Amino acid sequence: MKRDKNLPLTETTYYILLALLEPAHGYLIMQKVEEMSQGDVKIAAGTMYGAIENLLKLNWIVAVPSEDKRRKVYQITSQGREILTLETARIRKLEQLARTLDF
Amino acid sequence: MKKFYMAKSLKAEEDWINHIQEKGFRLVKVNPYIGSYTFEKRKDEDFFPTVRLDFHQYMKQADYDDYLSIFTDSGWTLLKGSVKDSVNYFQKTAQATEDVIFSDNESQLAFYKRNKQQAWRSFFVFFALALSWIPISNYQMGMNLSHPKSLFLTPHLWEMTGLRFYLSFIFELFFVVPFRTPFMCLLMIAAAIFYLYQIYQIKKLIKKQNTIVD
Repeated sequence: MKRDKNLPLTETTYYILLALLEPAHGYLIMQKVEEMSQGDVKIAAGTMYGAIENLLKLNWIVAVPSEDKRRKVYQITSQGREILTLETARIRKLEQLARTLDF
Repeated sequence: MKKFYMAKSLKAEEDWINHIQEKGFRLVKVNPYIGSYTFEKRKDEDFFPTVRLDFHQYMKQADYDDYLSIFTDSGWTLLKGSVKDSVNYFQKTAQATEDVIFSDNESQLAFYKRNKQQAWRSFFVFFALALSWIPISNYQMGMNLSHPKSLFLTPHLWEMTGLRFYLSFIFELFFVVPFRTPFMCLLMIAAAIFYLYQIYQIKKLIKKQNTIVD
């Protein structure tokens, strides 16, 4: 089977998709990712905006209605979930391989 | 303190600003169109107000509001920029936890590439202007730069005297220099060459960024 051309995802993208399983605005995503990764991944402001722009273009996330006039709130789409599933399977495969080699 | 600078890339501009700031100053005002920067002596010596530049074109107002809120929420204030400006200048506040605005390789590269694209566009604009100015300033059509007097068209200009001569001369000079000499054409060629130089410098940055990853 041919692999999706968007795989593998960057670490930033993977974390953002995970964070957007629940709706969040830009800065909230940054905070969530830092927390989820236990401080390993800190997304800077410019990177955050660029990532949102890209993910919107790919239709992996979508802006959802919100009260906030300035901040847009985003959420993962079904396409985004699909990619997340594929990527997770890829990472699991790697992990299993490493395990058979005693890592 | 006011300083002028002509940057070879946005990265170089950022580095130059922060280098000045390291000497105990903080950037307070920028006019990117004439390349002027106003610095003030820094009061808070302990906090370094890092300046970072970002580049985006043709943003919608709603997208720009969201963009700006991501920066301000994470502790960066807008020093100069608007939805219409492609370059936005951000300054770090004490609330910011990061010193950079690009935290991964992909976004850093994408920033350089946007800068490079812009430099290419500017190059083509000035190159086209230089070409189109050749017929406008038709200096090659029998006009002779070694006889500058022949470039002036006012009848009897050179027989006038006193104030009348100076007024007529200066008045016509504003027509002669751009339209009857290669001056404007050369100026535009110089601008085009400057943008080629920018492209070369940005390409070096991109190459360097790529080798960091390898």
